[in-house]
Amino acid sequence: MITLNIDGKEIEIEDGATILEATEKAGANVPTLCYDKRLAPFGACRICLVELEGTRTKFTPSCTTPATNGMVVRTTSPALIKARRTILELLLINHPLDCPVCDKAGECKLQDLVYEYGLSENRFKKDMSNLPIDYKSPLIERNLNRCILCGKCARICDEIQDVAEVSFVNRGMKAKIGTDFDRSLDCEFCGQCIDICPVGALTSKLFKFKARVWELTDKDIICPYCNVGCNLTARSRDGRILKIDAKESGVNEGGVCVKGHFGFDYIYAEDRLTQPLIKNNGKLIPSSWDEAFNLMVSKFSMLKGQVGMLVSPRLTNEEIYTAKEFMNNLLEGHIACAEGLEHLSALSETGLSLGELKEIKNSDCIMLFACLSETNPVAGIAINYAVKRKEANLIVISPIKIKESKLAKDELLIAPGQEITIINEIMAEIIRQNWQDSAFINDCTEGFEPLKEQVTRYTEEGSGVSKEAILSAARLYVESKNPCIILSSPTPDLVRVAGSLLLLKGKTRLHLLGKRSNEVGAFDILGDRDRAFISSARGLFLIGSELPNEALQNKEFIVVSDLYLTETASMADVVLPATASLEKKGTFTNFEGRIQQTDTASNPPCGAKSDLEIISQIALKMGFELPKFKEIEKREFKKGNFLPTQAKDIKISSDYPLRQSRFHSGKISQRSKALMEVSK
Amino acid sequence: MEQYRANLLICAGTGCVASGSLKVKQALEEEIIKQNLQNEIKIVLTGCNGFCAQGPLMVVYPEGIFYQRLTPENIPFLVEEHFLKGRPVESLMYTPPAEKKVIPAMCDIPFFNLQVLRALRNRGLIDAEQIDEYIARDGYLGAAKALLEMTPEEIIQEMKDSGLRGRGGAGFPTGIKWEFCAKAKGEIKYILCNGDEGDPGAFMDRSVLEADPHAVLEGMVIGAKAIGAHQGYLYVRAEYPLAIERLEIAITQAREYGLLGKNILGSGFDFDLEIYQGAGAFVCGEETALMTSIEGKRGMPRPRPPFPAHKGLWQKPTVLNNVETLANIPQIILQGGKWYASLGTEKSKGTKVFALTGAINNIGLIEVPMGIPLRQIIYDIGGGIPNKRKFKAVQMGGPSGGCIPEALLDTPVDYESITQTGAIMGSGGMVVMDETTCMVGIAKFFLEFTQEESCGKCVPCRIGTKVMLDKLEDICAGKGQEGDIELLEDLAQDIKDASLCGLGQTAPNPVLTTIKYFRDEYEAHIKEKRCPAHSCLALLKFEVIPDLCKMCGVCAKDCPVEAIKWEKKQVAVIDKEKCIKCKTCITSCKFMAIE
Ligand SMILES: Cc1cc2nc3c(=O)[nH]c(=O)nc-3n(C[C@H](O)[C@H](O)[C@H](O)COP(=O)(O)O)c2cc1C
Ligand code: SF4
Ligand code: SF4
Ligand code: SF4
Ligand code: SF4
Ligand code: SF4
Ligand code: SF4
Ligand code: FES
Ligand code: FES
Repeated sequence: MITLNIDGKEIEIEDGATILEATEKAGANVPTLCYDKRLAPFGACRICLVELEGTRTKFTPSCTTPATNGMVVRTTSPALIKARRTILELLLINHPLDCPVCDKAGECKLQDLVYEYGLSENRFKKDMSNLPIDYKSPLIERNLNRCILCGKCARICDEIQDVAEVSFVNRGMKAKIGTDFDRSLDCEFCGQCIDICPVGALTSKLFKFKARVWELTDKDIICPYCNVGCNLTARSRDGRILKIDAKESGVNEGGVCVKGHFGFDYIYAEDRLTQPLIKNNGKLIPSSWDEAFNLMVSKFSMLKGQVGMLVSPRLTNEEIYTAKEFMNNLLEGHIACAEGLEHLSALSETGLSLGELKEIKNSDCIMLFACLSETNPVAGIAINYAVKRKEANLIVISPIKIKESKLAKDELLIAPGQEITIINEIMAEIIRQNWQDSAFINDCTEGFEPLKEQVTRYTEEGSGVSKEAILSAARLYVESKNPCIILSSPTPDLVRVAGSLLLLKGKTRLHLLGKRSNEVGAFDILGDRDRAFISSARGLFLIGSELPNEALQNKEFIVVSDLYLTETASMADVVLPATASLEKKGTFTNFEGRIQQTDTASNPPCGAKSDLEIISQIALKMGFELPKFKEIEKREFKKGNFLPTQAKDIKISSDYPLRQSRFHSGKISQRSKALMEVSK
Repeated sequence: MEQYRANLLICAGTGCVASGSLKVKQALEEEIIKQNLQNEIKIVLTGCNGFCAQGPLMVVYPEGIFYQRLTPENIPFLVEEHFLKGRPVESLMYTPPAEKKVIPAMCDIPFFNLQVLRALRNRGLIDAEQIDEYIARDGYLGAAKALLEMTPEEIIQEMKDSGLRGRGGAGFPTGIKWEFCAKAKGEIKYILCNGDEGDPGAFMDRSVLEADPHAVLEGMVIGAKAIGAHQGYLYVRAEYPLAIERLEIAITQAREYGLLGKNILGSGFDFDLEIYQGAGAFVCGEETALMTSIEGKRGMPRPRPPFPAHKGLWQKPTVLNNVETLANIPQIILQGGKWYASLGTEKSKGTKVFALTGAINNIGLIEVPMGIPLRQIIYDIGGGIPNKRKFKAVQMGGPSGGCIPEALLDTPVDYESITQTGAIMGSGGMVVMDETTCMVGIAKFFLEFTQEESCGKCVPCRIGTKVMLDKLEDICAGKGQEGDIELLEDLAQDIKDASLCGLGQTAPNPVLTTIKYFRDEYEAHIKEKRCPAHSCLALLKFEVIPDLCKMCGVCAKDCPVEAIKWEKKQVAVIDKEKCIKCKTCITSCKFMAIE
């Protein structure tokens, strides 16, 4: 801790903080334009100047200068105010000030500062820049005439997103932010550059001319896509979401990807269901909720004990819990998650717990088995941070070159499907060299001997990777202090071997990412249940879940609750219009096991109900009040189990990454026009 | 080595090569063979001799006779007269301006005899492409001493004793800079050489690199040992192909001799070097921009702190030194810091190299002891102002510097005194200006340069210099208004105080110094719409001032469209209908009689 004096106030702050951070702590209001705490110090706009006693220079930029013990800082003085005004005046000579038609107006830093510093006239002659506005890029409109060249977009794109799509070009007054050869954007479209732009130079096309920001209602939501569980702010007018911004607090710390940022319009797809449908003579006919509920109550009562339910891992914890209680107490039937959660039960078998995002950031050696930029982009940001800022070693293990490859210290290109083999080979190398953490293994694990026996038999290069490369990766891994292993939607066997590799090093957390927002919640509530009951059930209640047509044959009664009339829904006897996660309150459990609250950000279509309402209301009709969801305690590591596993009959599934695409896309993203625009 | 009757040292610096020195050399070779003198006369190509304006140059030893402005046609006569008949050719020797008597020996020419050569001590004497010639002149003895006999602390102490200050512009004491870096924590450290030399008109560093590349390499080896670096980079602008070629040859030869690479001279010390070719942006000469550029990114300055001594190239402790700074180091180590400090003033020791250009008779590269008065440089070494014009100012420090007026010509050349005038010592640009140079125009010229070269990162520099430039353009165009000077001064101060790097922090200096010393010229432009130097086109009337016209008729002779009527003993008259405003007459008239 160091102490410094800010405007006469003594402030204590940790060593390494900047003067700006100290002024914030002191409650002083030092303006900034180019500063962002996530980015490396840059010092371009010079608006954050302060005065420092005992220095040669008149002013000191507070955002780039480290605070030191005993500093005496003045954040305001006539000279400082004059210098800041000069900077604003200079910025305004070529700024259009077209606030009335600028989407940023109302939360524009330039506008705010011009107001705050009372600049009603300018000593300098206008010299407007006249750069063509980029209307062609998808999703993002770039009006560089409004750009103040703070460099934030270029820096976030490079430092955080590791894309470097835009950068400074030219010098002097001709300097601007440009793409290669001034072409349209062809990037990951995370839109973080829009969020970070302090002015209206970068704006979302989805929001263009939709509303003034002061008309917007902000709601804290959790991203409905993958289970990084990014904390976002949904901004709506008249109950319709117009834009989504990343929140600076929360797991993502301001990060967001194309899906979370732009993919919200799936809820406004034209084919959203708006009223219940009942099958009549083979045709689905619109009906009232009462009719539908009555029919369900009577059929379900008849089929008691013989109805099976599947729930989507995108439902809230409250919904899944209620569904489970409903099935247990009322229908006395089976319930399972529609998507396999075997990887999570495999994790339980190993005894490991779930890794957290911040551990990736602080890791010194990351072993990556997935292209996160495609599946879980914001987790990918943590890797960029660890490698680029903290010099972590990245080991990429993949059948193809992926985006992260260029950051990799070691890249092991394996034959398709050989992830398990290569981990076994790495473990074999570690055990042969006797590099494992024997004390930990003795005290906290079981099953080391059989594992040792199994893996040390490996001699062939079955993974397709040379011995030297494996040895090098093994060495990087064992020599690190805080290694992480990252998997995304893996097979259960891959989880087992990765778990063993972690246990060898005395590590107890696996970073296990998933594609669906609440898989961990679904697993915590339901476990990974066998879905064999589907075939024998006489009735089915499918919530946001689809089944192949064969599985729906010969069922006496099928209810489907969904957003759209899916193929499965069209086979149902009753179809219920459900609400999407952006339209309801509740909690999701992210990949770390963090339970996060999401809020109603958009009005649902008028006839739709949330699945929680649907189930509670039927239960009520059946004369039963369901208990409320109670948070499930996080599992902590107690004992680790080595689970010797071999690669057996490798099947390459359809979503096995044999080519890299912009982002993983599924049922809901395909309903988003915005996402489809950039899906190629 | 074989003994020759005569050694002919032909300058092969960029200037002389451009004026044809290689053709002269070829002609000499042919003629010497023709006269069968090849066993008696040896030809050596050297780096820049300094007196570039007189090139192509040749110095004949042992007598030290200085021949200038040679052409291949002169050669047969010269060889016959001088080398067969023993009669040096006066017509090819140097005659000081406004004098009649030729000066045969180089050491007697004032341009040379007031100079003290330290950084340039081998100029014109050795073939830069032969390491043996460098070694024969005590080359690498300093490095050997540093590596084999001295500790890093001793080297740094010697540097501190020498009082050597960085020659790249800022004048930071080199010993202290090395000490910071030596003390910084870190396994990996770097030493870099700044050969970006982006100041318009500057060519000091290029000359050093071309004439004596090994001196720079040796300086880097010594610096590396002092700070504990094992890898170095020479950042040289790509526009210096000859310098790069000679450096490459020098590095290869030094490696072959075990003077670079592993275990140098058996000392156990490893050090090697790479050349990085800069894209030629002025701002890349700024230390942090230079480092980002070597890192493969756009050359943009970074905030300091962290200072390069702690986090420089790739965030590792780094020392950056200028070419000339480094070239001084071997001699300091060999002869001692005290020896170096014996020359100069209290706070500025040793010598400084300048590129003397502009309205001066002896254009060229000079090395003078610190403390020498400006007047001596301009009138004794430089030979004064040509064409009987009046001296107006000397610009030092290029776009970061300022204009020093006549009244301050007795200012000694040392860091503090020059800074006092508002100019800066800079890296060695020295441009002399006579009465025909408009001071507003010169300020505008430099601001145009800085505005174009501003990296665009920070607001005061990127936009502020543009606003100032616009104002200066207005003033030169006769659109200046009351209050403009004050606005310029005010904005200049804010730009200096608020900019991120040295470029912006010093960009207003040319404007501020010209306002300080030539405010009347600004006022004449603004209030009277008149350019006292008769230079700003928009303010010229193309009229002859009868009181000043000496009726010489030069203007009438030179006018390309015969727009001037002149008869003997008559004041010339310009026919404005015919005049195409080419300004030829204004330049021709020696009496400033046309405005
Ligand atoms: C805009 C700008 C351009 C510069 N250009 C050069 C240059 O071309 N050569 C140089 O040696 N130093 C240049 N410098 C100074 C360097 O930043 C640095 O101070 C110097 O190279 C350090 O070496 P020294 O201590 O030996 O002088 C420049 C500085 C600025 C601000
Ligand atoms: S960027 Fe800000 S100041 Fe500029 S037009 Fe938009 S709202 Fe106004
Ligand atoms: S959208 Fe994302 S990837 Fe594209 S330019 Fe902006 S920050 Fe970079
Ligand atoms: S576009 Fe926005 S974020 Fe990018 S440099 Fe300009 S003002 Fe800054
Ligand atoms: S990373 Fe996942 S949670 Fe975060 S915004 Fe993207 S899809 Fe949503
Ligand atoms: S002062 Fe000029 S050159 Fe230096 S960083 Fe700022 S804009 Fe770039
Ligand atoms: S300006 Fe040119 S054209 Fe006009 S009078 Fe002079 S020399 Fe002749
Ligand atoms: S906020 Fe500090 S320089 Fe821009
Ligand atoms: S190049 Fe020949 S004297 Fe300079």
